[in-house]
Amino acid sequence: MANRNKHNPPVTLKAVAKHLGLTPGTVSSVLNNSPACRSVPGHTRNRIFAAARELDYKPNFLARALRVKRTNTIGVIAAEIGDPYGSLVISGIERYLREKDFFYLTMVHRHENELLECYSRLLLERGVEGLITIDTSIARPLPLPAVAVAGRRTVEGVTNIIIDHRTAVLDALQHLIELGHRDIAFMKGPETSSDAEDRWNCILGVARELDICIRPELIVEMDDPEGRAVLTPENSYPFAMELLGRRRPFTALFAYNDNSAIAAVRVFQDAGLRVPKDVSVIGFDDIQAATYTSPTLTTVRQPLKKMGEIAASTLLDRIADRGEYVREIAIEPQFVVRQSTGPARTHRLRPTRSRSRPGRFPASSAP
Amino acid sequence: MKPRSKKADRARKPSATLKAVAERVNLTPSTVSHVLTDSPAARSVPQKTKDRILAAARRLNYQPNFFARSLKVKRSHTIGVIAVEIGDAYSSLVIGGIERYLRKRDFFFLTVAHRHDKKLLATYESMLQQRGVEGFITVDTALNGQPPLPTVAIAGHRRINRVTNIVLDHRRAAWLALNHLVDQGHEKIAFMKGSPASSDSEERWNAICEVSEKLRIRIRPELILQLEGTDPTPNLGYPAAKQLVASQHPFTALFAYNDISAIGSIRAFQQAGLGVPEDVSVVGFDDIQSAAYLSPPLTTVRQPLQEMGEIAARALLDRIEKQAKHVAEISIAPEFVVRDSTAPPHHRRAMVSSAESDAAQRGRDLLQPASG
Repeated sequence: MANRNKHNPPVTLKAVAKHLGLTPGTVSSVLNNSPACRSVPGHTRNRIFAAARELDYKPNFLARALRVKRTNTIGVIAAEIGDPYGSLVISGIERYLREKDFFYLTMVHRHENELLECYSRLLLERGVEGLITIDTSIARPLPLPAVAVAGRRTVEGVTNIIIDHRTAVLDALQHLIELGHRDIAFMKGPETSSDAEDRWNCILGVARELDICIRPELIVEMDDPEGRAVLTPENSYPFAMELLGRRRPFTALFAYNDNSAIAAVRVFQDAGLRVPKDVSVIGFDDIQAATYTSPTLTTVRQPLKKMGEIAASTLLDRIADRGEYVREIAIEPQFVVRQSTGPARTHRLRPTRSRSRPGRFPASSAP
Repeated sequence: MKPRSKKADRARKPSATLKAVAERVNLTPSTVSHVLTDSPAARSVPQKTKDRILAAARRLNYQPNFFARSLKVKRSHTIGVIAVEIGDAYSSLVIGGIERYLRKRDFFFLTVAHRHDKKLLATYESMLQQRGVEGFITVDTALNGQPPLPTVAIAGHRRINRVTNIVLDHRRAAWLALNHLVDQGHEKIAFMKGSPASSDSEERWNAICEVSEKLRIRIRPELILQLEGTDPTPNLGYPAAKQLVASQHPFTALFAYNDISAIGSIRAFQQAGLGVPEDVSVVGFDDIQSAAYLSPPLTTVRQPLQEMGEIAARALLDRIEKQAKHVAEISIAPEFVVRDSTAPPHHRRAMVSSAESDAAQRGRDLLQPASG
């Protein structure tokens, strides 16, 4: 490709052969260490290597890819790359591919679903040997091996890497119950987020088991009218405001992710509530920023980098035809207790401040 | 590269070649190629024939071979992105911007992370070149010399032949931050110097020195903190800020190296019983996503990271495609975002008495739109 540039026109195999007075076939067999080169004498081989070095010969990747029908490239289709979730998963993918001499092309759809089809086709045209999708819902089987990080649908040929939501939710809710919380508010993820439905179903199931009453007035659904919410703290902020604005008593919040938890902590603190003294908050993901806030965030850790590595190794195994196809790989979450959760308040919220303020909790936590 | 096993080859559904399509419709491959690529030569082909070709291509699942085409036209429409890391707030926003722009121009990119490994960095350049990339964008990466392809360096500071540096206007950034602190009445300002491994460190420090002189701020050696390492967590600023407090040199404000080190510093100050901003004002740098959500929300210099990625991608593609003239440097204007981590010095008494009503006022203001 470089020969569009005035400098360094690439040295071809032909040029190396000409320089040596040998046939390109001989040079190629030696440089590629093919079985045919066994008949080439050692000193000739050394001459060839020396000349290749001297002339700075680099094999043409594209020509080679065309011949052996291998590109050692995969495609990564992500909902977002600038966010902590996507970037950590991609970082894990990159780390694994590096070890295996694979490269990847990245495409970001920002939840514009019509792009997904188009992207997988474009990547296919570029000879990728497999696909990893991140927080992207795949509707139809793809024409090549695929692994979906946080894939929720069962699609033929696609391996889903998913966090064990049941364990995650159980850990979080049990923690709150042990701290005496009964009035728990929830921020529910938007439909566009792959994990939202699964996690919500687990919340409903676990809440029943633990005898937690889920009240509709304490649920905020973070649905973006445009249907492509990227859950930054900014985008989550209005939903936390909405929850507080309903003036229903609660002592704890289980947010959809760390970003929405961070936004909620800010909203609560700005309204004069103390976290965790007045309200406990639990996030999800354990992004780096979970330790930046004050208080630091109690959260469910998804090992995002590791999930990326597992996705990459699963895909490469499938490409190399090693190992069986599995529909699903469940990842164990880890519950991380930090400062944003504490015992449920038994005190009344100070009435002098709450009385005049719209949006404050009613003073009592009793239903 | 090991050849794939036969079994795997069978498992993959083959797509038809151009030749196969041509045979099916009983035309020459070049006619079929003209029609499928919609080249000017296709104008002479009757519409009926065109329809037949398109139908056959669809039926046979013909997919143009990108590599064959690349070889012929000697273009790959791919660039290489070489970053120090991918999972951190800085790079991921920059790369997000790069992607956004490349998409518009139908370009692809391969990403590699060197994680400060110099040897790896050198290998990457030639590996990516072998894969046919047409140029490089480096992110927070010190280049060892002139790269073999057109290159744009984000936060590149060394003048290197054929490399376009995208740099924040550090003088403007320093001016915005220091002018704000001086306006509020700060004189004893502590400074954090970035680690030599971070590509912005030197430039930013020189800008601070220059602007300080203009604003007549005395830089006191005892108030200069040198950061060690490039830990991407708040541990970056914490020990330095702790030392500063322990040294007992009086100061009323800190200009941190970046937001992450500002967060670590605030933690150290708060643990030492110092309030931010009542006792110490803190200014960060970058405006990372969570800066607005800290306690207190951080006053900071905003680098438009995503935009910097887009600008880098545009500069590179213009060089590759339009043979645009080489520009040595593109300067990006910073913004200054005033939040709650800065306040006039020595206002502790006044601040404490009004702290509660401040919070109450904020709460009222914030809750107004939601509740009515």
